[in-house]
Amino acid sequence: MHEVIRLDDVSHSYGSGIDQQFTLQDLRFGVDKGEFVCVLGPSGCGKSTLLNLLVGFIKPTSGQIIMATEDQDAKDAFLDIKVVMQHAHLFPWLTVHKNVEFGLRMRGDQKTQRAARVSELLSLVGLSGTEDKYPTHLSGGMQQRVAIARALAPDPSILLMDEPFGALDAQMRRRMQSEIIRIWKATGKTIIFVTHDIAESVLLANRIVVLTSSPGQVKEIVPIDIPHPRERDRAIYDRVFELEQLL
Amino acid sequence: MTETTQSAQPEPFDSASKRTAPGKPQDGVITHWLYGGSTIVFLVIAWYVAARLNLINRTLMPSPGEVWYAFLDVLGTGALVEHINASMLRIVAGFILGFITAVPMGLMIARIRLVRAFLEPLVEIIRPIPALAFLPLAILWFGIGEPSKLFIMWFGTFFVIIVSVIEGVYNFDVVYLRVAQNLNASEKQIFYHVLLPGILPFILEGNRQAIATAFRVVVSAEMIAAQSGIGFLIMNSAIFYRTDRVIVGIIVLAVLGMLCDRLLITLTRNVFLKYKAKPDEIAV
Repeated sequence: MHEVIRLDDVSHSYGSGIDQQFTLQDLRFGVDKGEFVCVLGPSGCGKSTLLNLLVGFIKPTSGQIIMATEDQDAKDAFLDIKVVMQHAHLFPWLTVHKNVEFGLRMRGDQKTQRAARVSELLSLVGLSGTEDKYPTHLSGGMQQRVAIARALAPDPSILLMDEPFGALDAQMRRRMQSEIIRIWKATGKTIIFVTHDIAESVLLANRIVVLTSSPGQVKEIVPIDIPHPRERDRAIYDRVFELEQLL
Repeated sequence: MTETTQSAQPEPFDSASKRTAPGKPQDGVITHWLYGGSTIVFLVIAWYVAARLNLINRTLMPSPGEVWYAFLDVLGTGALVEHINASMLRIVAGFILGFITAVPMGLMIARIRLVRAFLEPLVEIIRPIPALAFLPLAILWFGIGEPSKLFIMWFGTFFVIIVSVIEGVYNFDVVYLRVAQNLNASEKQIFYHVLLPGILPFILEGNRQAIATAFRVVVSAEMIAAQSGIGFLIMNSAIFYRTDRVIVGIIVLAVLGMLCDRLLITLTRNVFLKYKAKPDEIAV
């Protein structure tokens, strides 16, 4: 196992001097290849700032994010992380097919190559046959699966998910939780999964990075050694209880 | 699959719901036309009865029959078609000119900070001025012919469309731009593949308003300075106390305006259906 991404004392702040407000302070943790890491924190812990840092939308005020990709060009390194947002943010003017192939089309892949990849991914997320539908004609859960397929299409090293099931109802959330474990197993991707749901993090993660709020700091890193796929059983609830005590 | 719909029930994005205020109860199409149509029929009957009983001055307000014969008259001589053509040509020319200038300009104002700083206040100041206020000046600049009319038609449509473009960009969810950037899109690709299609509904809605504005402006302009067009027909008829023809002109305007609006709605319907599905069309 080697680390695919490492945060070295990463801080992010607004203002300067006496007005300096830290959103994130001295984050230090790494993620191993193929690992499922949940970042767990209450609202206001700077989760969205962390997400924007990881995909390169904003720069850290201090510290650095080190990515272990073959390509060392900084811009391309960030593109090796693909993101799934809380609200799917599928492009409503494109069909499911065109949404999934968007990243491939933008980097100039051939049409036949793209078509093969799209059908492969739609079957992976269980949505074969929806190619020609428009996103607004899909339910929330289906939209989120398309978003996962779209993020996986360019074959990134890391999949970054920002409370991807937060907008779904409880029943759908459970289904998507087992879906993401299945997809993770099938693809072997490294997944960084941001959530504020303790049970969700225990159900999914190899390790949980627990953040405190204002400023966001790493409170503890909790390994969960229960093998996947996990059932909602006593062992899980014991760990959830432990984490609740911690928070 | 038995997935339930997550998102709040999307509202149907068709013409009916777009023209009504939120919260206004939606009636069926049949109710809409039946009840609405019966009001119009009632008014025409009342008008007819009032004319028959000589309750109204026939010089100032002719009977429906007289208006009908006036309509057949101007239709038969070909004058009506000529006037309609003249007005529509001005509307379409002004709209196209307004569109091709306002869209690039609006995009630059919304996207380029320096352009915005210099031009947005100017747009805000000029925008509320009625286009017609420029007509005398336009006549001095461009003469009494078509160019002066084209100028104020451009003025009327330009500011409606530019505001819709700017609003479209400002209201566009930046997360889409970030998602596109994350999916390997360059700045140029983001512009053409994400921003432009993303603000299309705003631009189309702006077009509708621009056409409605063009109708208002063209009639006023033709009343003041033209030898053709529906506005001229109305004004010229009024001068000769031909109130029957005045009313023909007004009714023609109502019908033309409605037809144009319907045409735009039909042409753009498929676009809006993509952007917002009806609740019963969502797959589960």
